[in-house]
Amino acid sequence: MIPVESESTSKEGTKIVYVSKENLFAYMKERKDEGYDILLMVTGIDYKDHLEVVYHLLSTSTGNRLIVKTKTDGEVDSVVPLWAGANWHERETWDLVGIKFKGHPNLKRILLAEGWVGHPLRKDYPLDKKQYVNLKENGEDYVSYDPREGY
Amino acid sequence: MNLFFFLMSILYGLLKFLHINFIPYTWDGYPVGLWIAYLIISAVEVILVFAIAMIVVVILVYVFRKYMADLQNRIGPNRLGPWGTFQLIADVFKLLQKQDIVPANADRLAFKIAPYIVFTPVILGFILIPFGNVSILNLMVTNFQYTVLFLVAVMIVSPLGEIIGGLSSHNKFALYGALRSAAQDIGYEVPMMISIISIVILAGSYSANAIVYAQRNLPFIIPEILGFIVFFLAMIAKQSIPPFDLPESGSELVSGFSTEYSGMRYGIFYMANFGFMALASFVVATLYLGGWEGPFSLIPGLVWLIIKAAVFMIIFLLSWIALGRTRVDQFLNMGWKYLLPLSILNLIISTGLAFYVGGWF
Amino acid sequence: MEDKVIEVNFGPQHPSTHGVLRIKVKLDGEIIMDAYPVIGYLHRNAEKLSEMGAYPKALIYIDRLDYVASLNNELGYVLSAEKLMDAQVPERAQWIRMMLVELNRIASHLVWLGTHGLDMGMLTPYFYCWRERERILRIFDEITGSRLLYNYFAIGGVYSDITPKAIDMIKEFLSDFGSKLEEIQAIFAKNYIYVKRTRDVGKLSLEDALSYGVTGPLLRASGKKWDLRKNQPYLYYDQVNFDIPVRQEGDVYARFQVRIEEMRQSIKIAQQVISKIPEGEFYNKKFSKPMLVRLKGTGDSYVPTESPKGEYGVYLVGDGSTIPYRVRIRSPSFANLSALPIMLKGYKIADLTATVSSLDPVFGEVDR
Repeated sequence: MIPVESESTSKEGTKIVYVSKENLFAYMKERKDEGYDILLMVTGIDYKDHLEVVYHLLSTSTGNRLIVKTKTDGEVDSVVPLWAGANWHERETWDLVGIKFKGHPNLKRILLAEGWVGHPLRKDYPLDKKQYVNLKENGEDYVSYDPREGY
Repeated sequence: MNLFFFLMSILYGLLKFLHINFIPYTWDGYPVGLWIAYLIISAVEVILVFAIAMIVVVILVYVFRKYMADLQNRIGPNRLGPWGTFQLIADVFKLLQKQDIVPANADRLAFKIAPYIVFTPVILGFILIPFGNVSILNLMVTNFQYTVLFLVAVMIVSPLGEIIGGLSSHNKFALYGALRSAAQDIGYEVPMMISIISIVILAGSYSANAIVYAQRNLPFIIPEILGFIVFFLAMIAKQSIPPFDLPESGSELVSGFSTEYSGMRYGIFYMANFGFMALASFVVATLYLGGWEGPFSLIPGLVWLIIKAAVFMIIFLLSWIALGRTRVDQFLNMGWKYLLPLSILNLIISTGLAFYVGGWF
Repeated sequence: MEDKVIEVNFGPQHPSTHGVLRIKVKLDGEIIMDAYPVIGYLHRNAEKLSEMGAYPKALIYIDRLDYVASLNNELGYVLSAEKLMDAQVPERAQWIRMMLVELNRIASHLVWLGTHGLDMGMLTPYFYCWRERERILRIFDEITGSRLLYNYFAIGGVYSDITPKAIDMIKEFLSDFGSKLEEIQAIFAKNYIYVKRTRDVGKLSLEDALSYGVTGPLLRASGKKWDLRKNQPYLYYDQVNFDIPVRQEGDVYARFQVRIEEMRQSIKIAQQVISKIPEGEFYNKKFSKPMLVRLKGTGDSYVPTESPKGEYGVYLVGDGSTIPYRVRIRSPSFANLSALPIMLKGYKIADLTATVSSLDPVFGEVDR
């Protein structure tokens, strides 16, 4: 058994488990073997002093749900080897919250253009700076602050 | 040709009657006046056929839109002119006004002539259809011994235009459309020709007129039912309308070979599509339903032919409206594994029929 | 081998990408070697926008996620927010919600069915589907005041009561939609070409489906009997009687069958609900309109709901203020679409449009 840091319940009654960053992958592997076959989503939350990654797990055989949380400073292990569906969710978390996932096969931005400056769901993201996206000749995106250069 | 001599003799008689004797010598056995008349009448005939073809296309497009709208709980064109009849004319003018865009990397010459390669066979095909007879004269523009052979030759030209247009566009979707067009042509043309050969064997002539005459007792659709099925499916594939609209396939390849075309060049593709639908209905009616021959001669032959062709046009439209699209491999499977054996079987049957009861046809 | 492969961009402007999906496809002739979906062309960051106003204000962004099933979206948000604020909801409001959500599920599936027909090259069923959907939209117009984006479910109830006229409209719709659905189904299911093109196409095994987090009709078409309305009932789904359609094949045709059957079950549910709506308040008096912007939430909550596309829910984190601290939308289309590459590999170009449309992706929801 991988030790958990603390336990609580969310408002709708799902068990919440805090796991240390180092133990995360091992703990998730244990849960996967236990029967949690669907990873519903990966969420990143910016608490200003630290970042938190939240995993929602679901077992379709028993109907159990579990929320796993990890405090981090910006990098955690990827769970793509366990659930293939984590791929896009982790890319999105990297894109919008800026949490790196170690061992992810293709950690690129997914919703925003490649080359975007900053991560919008961070609390300190500057909302007054507009960025404009355009395509280079080779089909890659690029981003600029100049409104004449993009859309 | 009969019509030509008919009109020519009238003109010549007219000239004689008016004592206009400007024919001082003859050339090649005919007076020069006859040659002038020949040129004039040929020009008139070509314009006439073009006009007939265009009128048929216009009517067909209008009927298609209204009929389709009716089946789909819509109203269809209803703004311009009475019951929206001028809609197509407005559309054509809209297309004419549009900028003629040629993609930067396209093969310009090939890109520009491709629509005409697709469209010309439609007009050429109309020249070869016997539209009926007036007393002893056949109502057709040209009549010679190998009309059906020439018709087939004309009809297999138009896919070449699609392939040229697709390849010259420098667009991947157009490339795929062209490749599909090529694959599809090979798939249906062989069975189509074999089923035409069966008809030729049964009628004993390559002439469309003779084929119509051979059906005065029994339309070929009855002894040639297998050939009819093969030919009809081939005609649907030839027009590339659903279920066999693989070269265009709107939802897969954007617009297939015509992806890069806009303005009137696209309009020509569009007209060629409907023109071919009209031509195909006339051809099927001529080859399998006895052309302008009708059960009673009170109604003129032209009307009989139009009635028969209209039935097929409606069937083509229904197929367009109601059916989905097949996959390329499914179509090729059908062409090679079912249509080809069927057409060969049909060829054997018609050879037997021609051998044993040939005189009856 | 390498020089035979052509790379084609399907989209973002392509007639059958249901909006703005772009798929980079590697093709060997007609066969798909590899597919790489590119998304984000409709990204508006609804999550960030929702974090900038009071709790009820986020609803207008939630509306615009899955714009063909807005009420289903609102339901997920509203249920989560109510849990966050420990709000009690009057019974009548819950039953109204249930009925409208089921009607919206039918509307969403009709949109899917029509566009699916278009992708298969069938022009006509589209209009039949739109005709039926139009009647549902008229009902919504009567009840909520708008046709597409309703903003009708409020925290603590619904914004307005349903009228007797709306009840009559719903009853009339439910009474003859079944036969209309049968007709529409026949256009597809009795069409040899359609069946031939969708059988054994875009196959998704159950293991892959679970691994990719695929839910909803796709999961049920792959052989898992999993429907949150039955397995983890919310609202009053435990008090109504309905079945969960399941197919084992996992191909496009199975998804078609599952969705058609789901529409039937939705009719069944709505018919039961309409007779069970109790009299009473349609919103909680504690959450009257002026109060709504002053609602405070603490802790975190995530109430999963079964939207037409799969498991949908909004994970809300509150910090005790009137503004949500973090809003995370679990959109089913996003997870379903991520499984697209394995469904396409080895099939033909023509199967691409069939498979993509069988996922029923709505890009307001995928890109958020």
